[in-house]
Amino acid sequence: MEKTNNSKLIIALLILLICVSPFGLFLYAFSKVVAQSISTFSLSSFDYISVSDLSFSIIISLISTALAVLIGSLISFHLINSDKQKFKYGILNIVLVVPHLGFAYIIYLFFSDSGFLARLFNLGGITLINDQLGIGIILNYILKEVPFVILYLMATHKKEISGYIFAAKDLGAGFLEIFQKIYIPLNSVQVMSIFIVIFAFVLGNYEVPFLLGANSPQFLSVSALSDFQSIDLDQNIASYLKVIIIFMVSILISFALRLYMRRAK
Amino acid sequence: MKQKWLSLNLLNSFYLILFFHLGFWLLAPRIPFPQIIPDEINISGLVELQNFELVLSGLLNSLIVAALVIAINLIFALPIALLLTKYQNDFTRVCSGLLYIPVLAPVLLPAFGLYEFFIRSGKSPAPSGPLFPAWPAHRPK
Repeated sequence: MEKTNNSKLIIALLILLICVSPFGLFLYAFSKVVAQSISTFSLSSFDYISVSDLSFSIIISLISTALAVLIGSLISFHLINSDKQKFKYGILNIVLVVPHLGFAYIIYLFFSDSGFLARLFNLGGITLINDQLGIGIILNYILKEVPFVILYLMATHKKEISGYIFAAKDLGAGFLEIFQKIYIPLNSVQVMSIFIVIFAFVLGNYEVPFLLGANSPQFLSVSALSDFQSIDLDQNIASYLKVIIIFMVSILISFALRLYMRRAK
Repeated sequence: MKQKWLSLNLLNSFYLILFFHLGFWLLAPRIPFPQIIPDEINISGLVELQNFELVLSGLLNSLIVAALVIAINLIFALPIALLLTKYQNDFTRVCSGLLYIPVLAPVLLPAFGLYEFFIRSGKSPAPSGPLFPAWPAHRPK
């Protein structure tokens, strides 16, 4: 009896804490956006939502996330075999605390038409920044997220995995074989979690594509912000619909990945 | 072991070049096109053209907002995390799943929602802009 009362009290406390916390505010803000979209919805709002923008955002986000996770996990696997206490991660830690806007500016100065790389190799006419293929955006996210993936996977590394890697090496397995058949399957939960987190962030972030992206096709988040600042009511509603679409895509990808992981197990 | 040190150092060096290059652009008045290293290092442009009053007030605002966000989140997140880890049942599992939602939401979503509530419906003490007018400069006169 006391246990039941206890659990009811805990549930009540949890509901209260969640409702008054920033999470409750988030839920309220979300409901406000949805309610406003529904109450002032008109079909002309859809004229401002472009399928090419949506597909561009999803493709660029998927490519940059996949590459960042792949490169990061390859490097962390390479570093993992030795005693991590002896390593000094140095500048990798600093990359984590640099804001995305600051890092996008660094990428702009380094890879733009008149940037460091163009000067060093005399690369006239090759556009890596503000291009229609989104190369600048991909470069920025890869370089910014790789240290995050490395540090995350190194921090969550379990010692028993080193034993499996050691055994596989003893049996003559190669670097890529161990990575593909031992390291990734045993770290699948971490890799999947970090993939979802980075993907959702990249898809919803607007500063980096605003600075490094082309005018068309645009990231959906960038066009959502410009629509939000418009005085046209239809455009305002289109901006709300765009953020809801981004949110739904993130949730769908997250569910799809979780289902895939469950079936793979 | 030496190989690992080398690869980590290479990685660090690459990022160091990125940051170092930014330093050149900050400290040099101009770098004509084919040049990689500027002719002169001169911080007068950086100092003279900077509106320090604006930078300081912006920095202070950012620091206040950041500190408030950390404090508010910690106050609520710690007891929730404690409850969720100590008592595990179907309800707490649902709560854990729900708490995952803001991670997936774009940053614009709560911003638009709060704007809708505080600014458009006129419930904010500030006429526009900040939701929490922490700095007196933003209070309406």
